[in-house]
Amino acid sequence: MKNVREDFPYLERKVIYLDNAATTQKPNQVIEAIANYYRRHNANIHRGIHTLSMEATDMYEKARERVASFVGAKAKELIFTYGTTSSINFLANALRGSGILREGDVVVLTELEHHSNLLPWQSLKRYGIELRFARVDEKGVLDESKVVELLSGARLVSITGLSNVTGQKVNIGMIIEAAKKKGVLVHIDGAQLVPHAKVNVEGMDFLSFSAHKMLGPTGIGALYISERFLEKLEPFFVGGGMIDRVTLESSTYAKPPEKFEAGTPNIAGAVGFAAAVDYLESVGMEEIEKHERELVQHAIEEMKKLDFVELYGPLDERHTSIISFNIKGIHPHDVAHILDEEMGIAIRTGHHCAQPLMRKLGVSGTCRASFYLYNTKEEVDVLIEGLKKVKEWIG
Amino acid sequence: MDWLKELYSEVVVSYAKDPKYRGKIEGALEERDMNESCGDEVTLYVKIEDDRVKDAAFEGVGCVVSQASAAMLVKLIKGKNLQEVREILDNVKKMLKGEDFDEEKVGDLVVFSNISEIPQRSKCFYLAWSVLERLYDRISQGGSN
Repeated sequence: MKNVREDFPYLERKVIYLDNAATTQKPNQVIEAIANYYRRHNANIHRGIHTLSMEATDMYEKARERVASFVGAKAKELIFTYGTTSSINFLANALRGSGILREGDVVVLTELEHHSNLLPWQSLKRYGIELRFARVDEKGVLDESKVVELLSGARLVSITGLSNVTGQKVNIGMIIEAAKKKGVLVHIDGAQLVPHAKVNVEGMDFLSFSAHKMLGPTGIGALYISERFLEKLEPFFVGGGMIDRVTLESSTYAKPPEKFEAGTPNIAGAVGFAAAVDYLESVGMEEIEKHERELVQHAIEEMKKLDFVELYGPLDERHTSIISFNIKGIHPHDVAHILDEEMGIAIRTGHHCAQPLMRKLGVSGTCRASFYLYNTKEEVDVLIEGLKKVKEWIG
Repeated sequence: MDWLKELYSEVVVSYAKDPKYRGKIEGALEERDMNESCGDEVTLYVKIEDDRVKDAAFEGVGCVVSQASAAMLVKLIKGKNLQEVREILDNVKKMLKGEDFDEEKVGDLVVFSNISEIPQRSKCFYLAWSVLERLYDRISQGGSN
C-alpha cells in the first residue's frame, strides 16, 4: 500500500491513534476540500439562481454521485443524513410511517448490534412491531446461520456488516442471499464496514454509513435506499427544500432524493465526504482491508503471547480492523489512561455502545484498539509494550 | 507525568485492592450508584448510631480511581459524627471543583488533590462520594435503617 502518512497532519502530534472505530483522522485533501468550499463557493443550494448557489448545488450533487458510486448505487438512491444514527432512525420511522413495516411485522437483529442499530427498532415496538435476536457465543462471535434461521416470516433484517466491538466481518452475502429467497428486506449498518472494505449495495435494500468514520467530516452520513422504495417511502422530515407545491392545507413533495432531505443540508460535509471517498479509492479499498487485517492479526498474535490479556471476537480470518481485549484484573479505564499519558496511545474503553454484547461477554467494558490505513505495525508494537507496562505498574 | 504517577501511586493502588474496606453490612443504610459509561459501580453501607458512623463498608467494581476513592471514603467516615461527615463531604466537593480545601479533613484522599485538572477521571473519583451525598441527604431527612 502506498505511504499515506504524510497526508495526515494529526501525526504532527506524535500520537498513536488507535480509536478509528470511534472516528478517523482527516487527510489534508479532505480538510482542504471543506475549507475551499467555505472560502470560495459557499451558498445555499437548490434555491438561488446566482452563480455561487449554482456552484454549491453542483458541488453538493456531485458529492452525492461520488458517494453513491463508492458503494455501487445510483445518485438518486443515496440521501445525505447526519450520520449512521440519523440514517437508521430515519429508516425505521419512515418504514413504519409508510406502512412498509406494520403491526405484527418482525424485524431480525443480532446481539452484536451497536445501540444505533437497536434503539430505533426498539422504538417501533409500541406500534406492534416485533424484534427477534440472533445470539452470539461467549466470545461475542456471530454464526450467520443463526440469523438465517430467524428469517422465516420476518419482514426485515437489520444487521451490522462489521462489529464495532469484536471486529468480526459478518458474512452479509449469506444473509442477503437467504433474505432475498424469503422475501425479507435487508438493511446493513455499514458504519464500520463501508470505511474498511469494498462494499456494493447489490442485494441490499438499505445501507447506512457515516463520513467521519472514513476520513470525512462529522455531521454527515448516508442512507442508501434501493430504487424500488424511493416512491413508496414517505419522508420522515418535512419542511424546506423537499417540496413541490405547498398550500396552507396540504403539500406535494419533490422527487427523491430531495424529498428525503428537508432543510439546508450539510453542504460542506458532503463535499468533504466526497473528498474522503476519492482519497480512499486512490489508495484502494482492497489494499486498505488487507493492510488492516495484517495489523489486527499482528496485534492478536502478540497479545496472545501475553498471558494476562483476554481477547474477544473470532480471532481468525473473519477478524479485521478492530480488537477488543482486557488486562485481567485491571479496569479498562486504567489501561487507557496509562497508555495515553505514558505512551501517547489513544484507545477506546467502555461498552462501545453495545451493552447487550458486554453482558454476553460478562464484562462491564473492554479496551478496544481499532486500526486504519495510516496505522503501522510499529505502532502495534508500541501498544504491546504499553500493555506490559500497565501490567507491571498496577497489575 | 507526575500526576499520573500520583494517580496510580502505590498508595492509591493498594487502597483499591485492599479488602479491608469492602463488604456488606447487614441492617445498614445502603445506597448504590454506577457510571453507566464505564461500568464503575459502588454500593455503600453505613451504620449510624447516635448520630455517628458506627460502621461503614463498600462493595464495588471499577477502575483504580473509583475503587480507591471509595475505600478512602470508608476509612475517613468511620467513627465520625454527622457534622464531621458533612465537613469531609464539603471539602471533597471543593477538591473536585478545584477550590481551596482543608487538607486535614480529607486524609489520604489528598493524593487526588489535582483531580479537577483530570476531567476524564473526576467522575470515577466522585462516584463513591455522590453515593455518600445521597445517603447523607437521606439521613438528614430522617431516613432510618
